[in-house]
Amino acid sequence: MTNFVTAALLFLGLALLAGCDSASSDTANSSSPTSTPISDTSSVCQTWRTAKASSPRTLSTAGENASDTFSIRAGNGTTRRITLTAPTAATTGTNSLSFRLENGTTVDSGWTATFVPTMPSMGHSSPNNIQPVYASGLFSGTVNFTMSGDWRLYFCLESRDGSIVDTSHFIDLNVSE
Amino acid sequence: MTFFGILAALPTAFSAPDTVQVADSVTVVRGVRPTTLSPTERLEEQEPAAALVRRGPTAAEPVVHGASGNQAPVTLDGARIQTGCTDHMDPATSYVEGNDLDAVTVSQPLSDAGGAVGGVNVALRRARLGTQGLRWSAASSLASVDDGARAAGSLSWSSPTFAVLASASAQRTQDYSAPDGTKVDYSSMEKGNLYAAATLRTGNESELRGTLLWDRSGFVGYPALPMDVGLARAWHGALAWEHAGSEGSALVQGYANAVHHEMDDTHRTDVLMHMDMPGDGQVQGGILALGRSLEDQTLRLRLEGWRGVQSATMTMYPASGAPMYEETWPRTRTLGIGGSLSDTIRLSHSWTLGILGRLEGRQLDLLSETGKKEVAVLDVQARTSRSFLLPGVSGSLSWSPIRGQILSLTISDALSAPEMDELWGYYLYRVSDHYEHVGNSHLIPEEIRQIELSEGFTKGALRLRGNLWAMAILDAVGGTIDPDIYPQNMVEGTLGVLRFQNLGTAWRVGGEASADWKASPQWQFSCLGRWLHDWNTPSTLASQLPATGGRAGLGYRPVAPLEIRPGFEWELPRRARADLPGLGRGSGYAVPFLELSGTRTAGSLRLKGNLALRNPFDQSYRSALDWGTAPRPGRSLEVGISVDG
Repeated sequence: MTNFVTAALLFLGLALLAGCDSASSDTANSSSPTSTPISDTSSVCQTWRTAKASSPRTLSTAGENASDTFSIRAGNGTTRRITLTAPTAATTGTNSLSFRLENGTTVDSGWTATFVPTMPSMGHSSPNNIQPVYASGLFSGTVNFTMSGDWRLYFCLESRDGSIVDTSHFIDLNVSE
Repeated sequence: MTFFGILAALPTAFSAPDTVQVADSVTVVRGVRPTTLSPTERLEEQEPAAALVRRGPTAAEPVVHGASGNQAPVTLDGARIQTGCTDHMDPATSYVEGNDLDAVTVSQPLSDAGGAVGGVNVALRRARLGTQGLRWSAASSLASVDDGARAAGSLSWSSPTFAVLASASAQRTQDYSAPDGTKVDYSSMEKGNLYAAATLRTGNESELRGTLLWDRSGFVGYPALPMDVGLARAWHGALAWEHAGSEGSALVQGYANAVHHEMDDTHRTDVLMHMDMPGDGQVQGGILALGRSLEDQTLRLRLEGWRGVQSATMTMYPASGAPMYEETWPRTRTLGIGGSLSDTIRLSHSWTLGILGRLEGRQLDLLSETGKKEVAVLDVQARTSRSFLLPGVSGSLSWSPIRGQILSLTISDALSAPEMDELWGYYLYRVSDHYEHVGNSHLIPEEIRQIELSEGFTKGALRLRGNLWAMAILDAVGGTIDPDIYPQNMVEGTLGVLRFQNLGTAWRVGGEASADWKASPQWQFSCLGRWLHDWNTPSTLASQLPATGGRAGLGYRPVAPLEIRPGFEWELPRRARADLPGLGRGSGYAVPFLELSGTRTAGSLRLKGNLALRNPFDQSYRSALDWGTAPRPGRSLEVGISVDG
């Protein structure tokens, strides 16, 4: 028993010396049910949660697409102007989703993007989404909608060097059968 | 032998070697109800191998050694029936009333309908040929626990060449009264049932029979759920020709049935979101049973083909926004064709060997386009069609050293197909474990191996039965957390989402015993009990494992028309499970009952009155309305009267 207590105190001391905050770590783990794991994006979007999106903006719908042009201030103080265009029509099941990300007039491949589908009235997400990758001017991925109804698709956009991150945009979809 | 020669040599019915018949002649400890006992009441009172999973004031589902569904299907005169509720709230037995019933048969270790653990067959009441002419009966009863009123009547006419009967019953209960006198909200029900049967003699040893059953329930409350059953409707029809000769018999039967089931929460005011949950099941099928009695053996052959379609959907209505829709049971078609052959061989004066071989092919196809899209969300490699070949074999060796005593050893090995919802179920919430469940289209059949040692002893008015059994379920299907689905798919109000998987081997051992003793014309005694212990049972199945329990009763007839029957029911506390914290809440109990009945005959009329007091001291009997296997009665005073003419 004495050995156990000694070992526990030693471990606690080492943890404090290393700056390990186990309490905050546990909290982060337990409150991340809606983050979609991705392997090829930066840590910001990996740990991004829709619940923490500040000043959320919905995209303006025009026809079958919705888009928004907005400015993002980078960490070095420069401002980048972004246009995000995504489709609004979807059905229950697996949907291919492509969207365009423009920096001025140039399609920008120097970005990574992540999305998280949520169903606000049910409080859940959907499984097995394939995060978008850039090819031929478009970011293309697969998003799954488990049932018909109102869905909200959040985007996390991040420049390749990590200096610019935007988590404020989402698109509302009425998913049909 | 010609075809007609074979037909002439067929048995009246096919049954597995180890079949227990729960017949009318079995002593009924608790029989105060003015109408005959319902299928589940008969099982509860007379058959220790079958337990009941109760889910509210009605619709208890029978389980055999803790198994139900494909492992131990419920059949109506051998006919399959697919129910329409994803949470087993409308078992087939709930559509049959006592007026419709001849007997309930529990078969194990294999059943005619392919159950690898066993099966429960509900034999519907036949219109019997005879010379009785016109007969009628009427009955009514009241119960204080739920202010319930029940009424039933039947009319029959028989001649040597044609017989017909019709029966009807209706019942309505108010909300259940808790021990402190308060009413339990959402626990009332309404139910109506019609049944008709006809028999036509087609030869000296053959007859043609038709049966038609219709049942409708409404406003069936489920206090354990956030919703009730608004409508549960079923019909079943069958046409059978049977030949019963001295050397054998034949049965040819065609049948069809349909079930419609609707959940309803419009009466609930405290739900987060209103929802509709309709479900449907239809089956059409045919049975051919042949048999032949030889000098020292009896051969039986049973062939069966059936087609079933099953579906259930859920539409949720958020306070704002569009309704949300999903197919919890995507529309699925099941095609089955199977056959079994059994032989009972009398080896010597005291030794008998019984063997049964069965083979069934089953094809399941996912028909719904929405359903196909749903399962692809969970698994891009999902299969939308599955075929199973399901062999089964059992053997029984019986030793009867003296008249009235028989000792049997039975072993069996059979495959059991996954349930439809285990393959393609979609976010099915089960209150039994508080998880949502999703299907896995790659499941393989479970293999179920059983061994049972049973002893039966009859001497004079004493009848004893007992057995010990063990069961191994290889590749047992249960739910596990799938990291691809959980925790991304948190659903409020549930513990999470489980995907069905073939897990390891689950084990069960148990024993059952019953005794009936008519000590004298005035005194008789009856009791039964069961015990079961399990290892590695998946959480999805744990709630249907019965606790150790039983019942005992005494019958005393001081004067001919009067009978007094005191008795009690008991159950030990359920074993707590770490993975199912809610399941351990049940406590053990032993509750008494006292029944009085008197009969008076006047001319051709027979009048019977009943009075019963149940569970007068128990302070927690509300658990009968919760989800579980404890069918404890509420504190109730019941009075009934019946007239036969």
